[in-house]
Amino acid sequence: MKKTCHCGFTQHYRNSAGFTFIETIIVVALSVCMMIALGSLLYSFNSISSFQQASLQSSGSASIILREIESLAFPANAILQTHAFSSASYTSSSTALVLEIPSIDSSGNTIANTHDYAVIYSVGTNVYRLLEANALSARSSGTKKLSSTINTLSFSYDNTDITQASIVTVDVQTQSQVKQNILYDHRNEQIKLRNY
Amino acid sequence: MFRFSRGFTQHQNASTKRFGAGFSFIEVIVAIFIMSVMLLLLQAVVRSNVLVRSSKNQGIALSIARNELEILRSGGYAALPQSGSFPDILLNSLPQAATTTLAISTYNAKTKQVSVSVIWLEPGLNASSTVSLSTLITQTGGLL
Repeated sequence: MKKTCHCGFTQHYRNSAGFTFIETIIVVALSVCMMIALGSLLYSFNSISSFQQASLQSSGSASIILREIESLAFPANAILQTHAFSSASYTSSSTALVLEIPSIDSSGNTIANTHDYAVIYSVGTNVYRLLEANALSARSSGTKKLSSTINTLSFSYDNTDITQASIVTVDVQTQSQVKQNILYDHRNEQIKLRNY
Repeated sequence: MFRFSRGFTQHQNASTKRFGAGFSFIEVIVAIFIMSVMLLLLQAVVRSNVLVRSSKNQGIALSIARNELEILRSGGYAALPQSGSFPDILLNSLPQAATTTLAISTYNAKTKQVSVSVIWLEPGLNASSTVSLSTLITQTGGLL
């Protein structure tokens, strides 16, 4: 910290006097107070912004899951009891949803008698969407991670025989942790298969 | 850089000449400027907190309204209920005193217009917030 006296260069006798001990103490005390105030302000900025980020992230990922399920379930024509994907076989239940979707060409028209298959499932806190498209289909196959902050993901159907169900209710709860606080975000939406 | 000016007692006599000056006008201005910038920053952060919370609630309200429209669409024309309010499992995720309204009016002989709104009181904002969606449901050619 550089200290200069503002009292002017012509008045050399003043500069030669220096600072008294009390003055120095006061300056140091004031600086410390300023530092503490600035530090706590920065700290609270930081914690508020990480809280906001976590809150937006958890509600955003809940919405992403729902939009993705909607985009697959609206065009689907059936919920399948079970389907053997190339990697593994998946069964529709309260924790997984297997869909059969009519294939579409690049202009969006359905291709007769060909189907794409999709499953949405969770592993731990991750939610994945696995899509296996027909060779003729414009959809692209692959696994996509929809969220890594899932707390619960459950599906319920309007019919105990899943293959007869045309309405699926999706319940998603995401969570994110900020220091000691855990933020939850809960979404619940009903989706009707348009092509059932 | 710290500009320190000496002087807390400002008597202009010989014995205390050393303490003569006090703070200059520029110094006071700079100090006030720095403090007001800090206060403005704090204000901005506090306000952004309110915005983030209200956008989150808006997302929940939109989800409630979409869900209700989807339920009404899949129920079909004949099963449309009377105007009033509707329940939703997510309502308690919104701030206290969140309410819903459902308005069904006749659009034409074979079509009804359905409007759903979710209204809640955002803490930190004075006015209540609303999300409204509306759709037409026809007697034939709907989801049923």
